[in-house]
Amino acid sequence: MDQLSRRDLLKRALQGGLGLAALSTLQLTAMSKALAAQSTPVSGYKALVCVFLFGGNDSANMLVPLAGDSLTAYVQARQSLAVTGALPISPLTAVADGIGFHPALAPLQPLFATQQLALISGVGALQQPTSKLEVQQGKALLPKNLYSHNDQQATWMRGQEPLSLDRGWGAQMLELLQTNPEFSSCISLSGTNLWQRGQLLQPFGMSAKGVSGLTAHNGAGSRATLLKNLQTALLAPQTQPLANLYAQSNSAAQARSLIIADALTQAPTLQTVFAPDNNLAQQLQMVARLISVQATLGVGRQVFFVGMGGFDTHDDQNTVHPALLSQLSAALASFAAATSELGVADQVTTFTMSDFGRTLSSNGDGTDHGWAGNQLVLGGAVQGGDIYGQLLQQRLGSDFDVGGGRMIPTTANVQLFASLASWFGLSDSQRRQIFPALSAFDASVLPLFR
Amino acid sequence: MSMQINSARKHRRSRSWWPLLLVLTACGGEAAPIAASPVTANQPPVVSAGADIQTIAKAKIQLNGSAIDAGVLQYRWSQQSGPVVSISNSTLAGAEFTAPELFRSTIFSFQLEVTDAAGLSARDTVQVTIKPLPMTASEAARLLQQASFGPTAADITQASNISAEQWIAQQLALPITTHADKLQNPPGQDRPAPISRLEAWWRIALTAPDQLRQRLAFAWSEIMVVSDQGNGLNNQPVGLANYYDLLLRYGSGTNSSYRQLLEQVTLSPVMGVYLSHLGNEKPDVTRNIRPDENYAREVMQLFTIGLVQLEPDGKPRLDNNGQTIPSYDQSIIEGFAHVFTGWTSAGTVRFDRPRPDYINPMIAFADFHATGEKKLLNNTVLPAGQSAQQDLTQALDNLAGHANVGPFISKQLIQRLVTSNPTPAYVGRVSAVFADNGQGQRGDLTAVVTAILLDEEARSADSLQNSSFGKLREPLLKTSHLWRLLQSAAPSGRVFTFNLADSHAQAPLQSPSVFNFFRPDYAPTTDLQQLALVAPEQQIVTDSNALNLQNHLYNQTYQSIFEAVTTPGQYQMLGRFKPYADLLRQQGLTALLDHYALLLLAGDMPLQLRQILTELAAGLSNQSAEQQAAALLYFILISPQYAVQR
Repeated sequence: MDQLSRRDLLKRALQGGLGLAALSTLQLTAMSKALAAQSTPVSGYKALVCVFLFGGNDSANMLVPLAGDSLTAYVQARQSLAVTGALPISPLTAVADGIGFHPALAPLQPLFATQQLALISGVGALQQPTSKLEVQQGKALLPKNLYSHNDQQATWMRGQEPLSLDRGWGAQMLELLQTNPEFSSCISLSGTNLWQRGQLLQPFGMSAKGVSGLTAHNGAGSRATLLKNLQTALLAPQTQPLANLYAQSNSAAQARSLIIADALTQAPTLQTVFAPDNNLAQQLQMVARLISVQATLGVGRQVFFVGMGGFDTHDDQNTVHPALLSQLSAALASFAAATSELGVADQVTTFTMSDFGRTLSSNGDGTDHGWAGNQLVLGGAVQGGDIYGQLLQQRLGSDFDVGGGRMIPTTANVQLFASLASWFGLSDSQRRQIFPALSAFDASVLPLFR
Repeated sequence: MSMQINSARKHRRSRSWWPLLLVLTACGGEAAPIAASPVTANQPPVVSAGADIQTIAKAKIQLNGSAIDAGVLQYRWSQQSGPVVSISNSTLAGAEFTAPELFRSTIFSFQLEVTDAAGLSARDTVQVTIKPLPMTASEAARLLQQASFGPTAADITQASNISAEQWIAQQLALPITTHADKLQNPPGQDRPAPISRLEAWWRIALTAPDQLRQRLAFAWSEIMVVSDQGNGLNNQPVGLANYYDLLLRYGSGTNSSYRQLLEQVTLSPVMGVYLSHLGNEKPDVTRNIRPDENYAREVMQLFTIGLVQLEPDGKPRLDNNGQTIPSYDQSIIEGFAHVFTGWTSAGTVRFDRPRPDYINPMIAFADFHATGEKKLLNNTVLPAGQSAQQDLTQALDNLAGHANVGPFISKQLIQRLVTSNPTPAYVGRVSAVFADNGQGQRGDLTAVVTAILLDEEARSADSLQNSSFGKLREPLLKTSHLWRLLQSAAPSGRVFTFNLADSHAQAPLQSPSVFNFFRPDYAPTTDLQQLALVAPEQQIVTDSNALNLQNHLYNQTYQSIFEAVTTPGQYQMLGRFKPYADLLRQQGLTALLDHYALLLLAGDMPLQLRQILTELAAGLSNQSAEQQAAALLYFILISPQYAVQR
């Protein structure tokens, strides 16, 4: 067996997260024959990159009204947290009183102007269209545990309310498009996460610094071979479920890491600069490198998960939040440049998710857990330069304010997800399958893409 | 023997009524005294259930009853208290039973009722105190896995002579080894650095005698979470260590109570900074400013009651539609947010100019405390006009008194110490102790921890038959165990762990958020979800983290042999392999594997693992005994058998 076909076999053996150690040589041989007839190619290449802003981004404050009544209401709501010096933007759909970016989003201004960046406004978790009256009367069917960090993170990643089998829509898209998606189609730079958990898929979790190898296996001597072989036996399937989980994840880690490390040796050196002290930028740099070797990995579709924390700005928001937005926008700008450098800008779409929006009202020097917010969608295929959905009005006591400036979403997050999924290649029925709440909303896809 | 109403001793009779002769009873061999011809009207028998008995678990126990009366007597032994046992020969004067396996001293009482031919009866009871057996070495190792930073040979020897109950009582009575006063400046620096706090943590985990209390503080640090990551707290190692000491002091030991722990945590300036209630002010209606809801929300969701109402056994309570029922709503969060106003750093003179103090409990400023009514749990409303301290006291009473706390906290402590998937019955037994320690006290943490560790599910060999019993070991606890086994130390004498986030994906008081490194309900795979099992510790296992930890363990064993490394770095932890190598040299591989099995797997090394280790040793036969011992240890540390603490 030559090197290439062995790698190919490894990859196939690992489809579905199965550990290499779980397979004997005989089984490997059998699998290679069986799998030959099982590939389900998708046409072309597309990648969806989820940027998760942990803690609940005060995303309303990314878009600031510039004048008139809107500005007055904004300042009234935001008090000392009102942003000054907003950078005016000119969305294709005009906004009364004008609108601008938070100054810390300066690196995104050119991407908006060149129509590679779109915003979705007033978007949040919903089970059905909901009015303030219904919420106040307790009659609204609401997502469970609104305002709770981990529950709402899960709601965004799941694309629906909890089921007994808990899966995310990132991995489910892959599993709907292909019978046995490659493990390398589902890569996380920011830890284990529900968005990339499928029926069989588990995200390949690596660090921005790269892939780890086992030092015990270094060297070409007989000792390394001995350790390698015996370790495979050691991590064989176990009868106890937790021991089996350990064995499976550790043996898979070993084999999967070898494949990714091998592929990354083919990655071209990127000219685009990613700030070394910007962790999100470093994660996105690794995503760009991984995208650059997608042909080597043999994946037609990929979902990547990157993230940054710190958005739970109950405190000291005027210092903390601009710094976070600066890192976010710098990282996104570098990534957009890198996809252009690699010639894949049209094939890569990047979008943000976050636990929830935050209260429009202040707690003195910060904000508390809210509901609707704004999200970013970025890429060459995006019909950018516009704000989609109904602009989130930053006005306390409005028809959308259920108290303290916790705003009812006017666009359901599943509508955003469906639009992304449609671009990724999912049919209408596939989208309805993973986003069941879509049936309660205007089913036509948000026209985010060209 | 105990006095009892209607007991024979209450019937004073003269010696003249004593029986004149003995006959054999029909049912076999037992001689019973009967009166041939009563002098006066028949009297009930004189019954003795025998002297009170002290014995140990699993012993065969003889109940030596006797009775004095005339005629044919009927004996009937019955159990009055204690876990039910089966009494054999219960219709004879001398009955017997086998003491059950039990893990805490238990008083059983048995009653002997004797009825004479005329139908008159009398009774007496006997108390049998059954003490648990001293632990075997394997049993001691198993307890030490759950209740320490990893069993060593010396720990096991010490614990093997006593019962689990005695070991736990001894441990909980030990004074705590505090952290804040142990922080040493890094070389060339004039104050403790963040690394100093981790160093103190390691030193104490590796050597302090109060292992159980330290392990409990570690568990609490993953429930009542503060972290120095992503905020200014990494510049406050002494403050952070002081918070850890608070968990140590109030989270275990005699007279510890959950209510007191909750108050200390709430008023901790480190928590005040972390969850932003330090400096939280009363509302300013004209400016639309509300109190900060951060602590109000998380203290309920994470430190006390959780999101949904629970049954006493930890299962969610369901409504008529089979839906879970929220424990609180936004209005209650706002009520608590108003409670937690007016507090700032100790020593502050002006509220708006807090004087930083990361050690002493926060103090209240009346002018900045919200004075209106506050809606709390269980339809409680605090009246307007109370002081900050009054509101706080009553609000914490309200929280700590909520029915969810027992099951919510008990289950998480069980998960941190014993098993990820306790049965509801186990949670129920512990939460009953949380509700009442037997003396009417709620939230007695000594009683709770004792109940957790002495529960049959934690102690009995039966639970080892359950394939889902146990928990994945946390990475930090693998390393602490390893370093305790090897008495690892660096040439400099310092314990500097510079990159725990990469090597272990966790570090004390450094979780990425108040939601800890992992959630108690984490279930990553379809397999686990179908079995309704959780594996919280797996949440930090990415592919890279899995390999990084394996590399760390390889580095700390095979690559850090004290007897072999000639030019170590000054901070390189080196493990003493000589005792293990000596065992291998002198007594052979089987003896070493038996020893490792005891130290690392509580004596249970499956044949499959033993075969792999035997092959490994054979393949390394040209290497030194130290290298072989190190390679074998590495393999056990990365084995699926060791991965699960059972």
